[in-house]
Amino acid sequence: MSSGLLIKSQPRNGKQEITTDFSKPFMMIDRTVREHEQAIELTVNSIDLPYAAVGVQHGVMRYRNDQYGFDIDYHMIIYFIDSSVPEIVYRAASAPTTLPIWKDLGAGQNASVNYIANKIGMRPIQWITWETLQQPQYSSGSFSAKPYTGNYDVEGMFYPKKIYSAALNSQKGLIWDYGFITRNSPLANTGSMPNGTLVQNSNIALEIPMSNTIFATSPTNLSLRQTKDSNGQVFAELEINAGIALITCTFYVYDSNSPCAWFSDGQDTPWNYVLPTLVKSNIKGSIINLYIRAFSNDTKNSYSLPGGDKVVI
Amino acid sequence: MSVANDGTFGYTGNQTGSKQDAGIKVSQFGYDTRSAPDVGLLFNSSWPNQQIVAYFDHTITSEDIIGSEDAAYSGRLKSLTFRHDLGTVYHAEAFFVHINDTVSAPLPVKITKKTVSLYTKDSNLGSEAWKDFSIGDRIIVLVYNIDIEKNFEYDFNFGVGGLGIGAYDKNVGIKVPSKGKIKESSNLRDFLLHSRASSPMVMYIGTNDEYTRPSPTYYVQGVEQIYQMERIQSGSLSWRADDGGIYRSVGYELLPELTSSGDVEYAPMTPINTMLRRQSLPPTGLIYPSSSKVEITSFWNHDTFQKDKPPAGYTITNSIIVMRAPIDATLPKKVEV
Repeated sequence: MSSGLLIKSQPRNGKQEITTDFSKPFMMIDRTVREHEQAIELTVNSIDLPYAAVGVQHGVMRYRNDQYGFDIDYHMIIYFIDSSVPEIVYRAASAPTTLPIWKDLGAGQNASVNYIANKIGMRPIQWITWETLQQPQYSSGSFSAKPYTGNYDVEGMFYPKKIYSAALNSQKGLIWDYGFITRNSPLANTGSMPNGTLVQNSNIALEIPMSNTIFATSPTNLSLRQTKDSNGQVFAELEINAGIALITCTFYVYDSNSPCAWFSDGQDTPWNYVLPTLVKSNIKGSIINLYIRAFSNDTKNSYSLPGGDKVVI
Repeated sequence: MSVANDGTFGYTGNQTGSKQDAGIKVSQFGYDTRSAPDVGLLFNSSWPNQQIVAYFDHTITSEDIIGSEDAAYSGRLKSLTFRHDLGTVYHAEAFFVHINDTVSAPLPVKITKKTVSLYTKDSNLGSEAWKDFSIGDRIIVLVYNIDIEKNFEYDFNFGVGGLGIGAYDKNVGIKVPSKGKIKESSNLRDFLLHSRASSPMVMYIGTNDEYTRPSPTYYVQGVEQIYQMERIQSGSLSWRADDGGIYRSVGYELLPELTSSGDVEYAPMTPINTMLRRQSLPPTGLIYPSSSKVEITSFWNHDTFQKDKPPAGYTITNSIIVMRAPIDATLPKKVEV
């Protein structure tokens, strides 16, 4: 570098030290252009996000041993989903868990009953419903379901909705970061991002899965990227992606190949499990403060390297 | 404008460790440069600024893309390694600069004292980002003057009264244009130094090595299970923001195996705000930047480390970096959607 600003100390012990070397480029926030550090406050007041919940029914199936004439009762738990749920959502609900989730309550009961009948060689004679702990629910909100086409498992993503484009007053792409603050209900009550969180990713989880595991997927996120219009103007584009996530068993479940979670023979307490529930996500009425910060002096300052080169391994 | 060279710097102002007894300060209107708190200054040459010490600019070709021979990762970028040989484990970031000149969010990289490696094959980190490119896009790698193995803290003087940055006055400040550029330019890229621009200041670098041989197991009814990961709460490794501001932060965790050249290697932590997919486990841990503090939770992740148990002698070692880059939220542009 032949230009720059070099600050040296007074000679000390016969040696002069370079105290500050500004010949190396900075990552600079442009505070002369307000748009580069402006805050954009988004008020989400009309977006209904999809939500769904898995139905849960407890019951007892009584089996009879015709040879010896005695009966055995088996406690069963059937998980089922609303019949109007699109196939893609059903698959999303089913995929992450070892527990089957049935499209139809009766089909779930039949499969479970027959599975155990075949296993113990006894004849089912009576189904006794204890209680339906949770009715299945489903609403697509203002989104349309579509298959997720990535390389990963189907997750029941919904069509994203573009919500805002902010001109960055630049003809060139900018290195940037962004922070946002969420507040008020319902976001504040659904495990949403805590206030004052700095966002440094292109995908921002608006809601954290309501689960004690990080295996679960954030049901709703804000996606940010840069785009360019036909005039070459760079925009920050914001998009809400709505999805659903399953809270499901996070620990070992006995006989995970069985068609339902059931009490094992001789056990009167279940193994550890939690009820699978699809996250109900809805950020209607929420306010998101989004801050966009663009850095200049970023990608264009090519200069000689201290040594070395690119190596492909 | 006041410029002082009064030898009043009593601290180690940058991470190189040189005592700052010379330099330039520029105060805001109404402040005496000799007594102004940090918040009253437009510029201080002793501020530990984030500077770029190495820079790579690589254009993606078909040779950089994983083919059908590795079906699980087909279509992603190969694990490119960029060698700087600087001899210090410096914090680094990578970006895609797309053909239309838009820029991606920062991409995760692994770092050693000699290299920066893209983390393309890990399913946990940037799994979407590593597919979001085209041949002809550029990868920019920036290596910063931030040694993640060296503890550092800057005692920022916030002053009294919460003074913000003053109104812009083009006649106040210092500008150093780049070679061939003019000082009247309105393009910040034309300047090596511009006192009205703000570089993220390094506020804190913390390291620890408290967790020797974690036990990535858990128990169900007394039976030991090998789980995917071990969650390890950070102990003292956190940083509190005195002013309630939002701070850029980065976390790293030491990988248990040396590179083929015998160097230790660090992998980045995942900011908590990443959209977590199922099976998208943080490779090493999570970093939580919030308005009150920055903290981490580190993990022993089998997918990342390819081991059921940590090797003998391995100690989980974390680093967190906190950078100040104030944002002005006083005049938000409100949008209703």
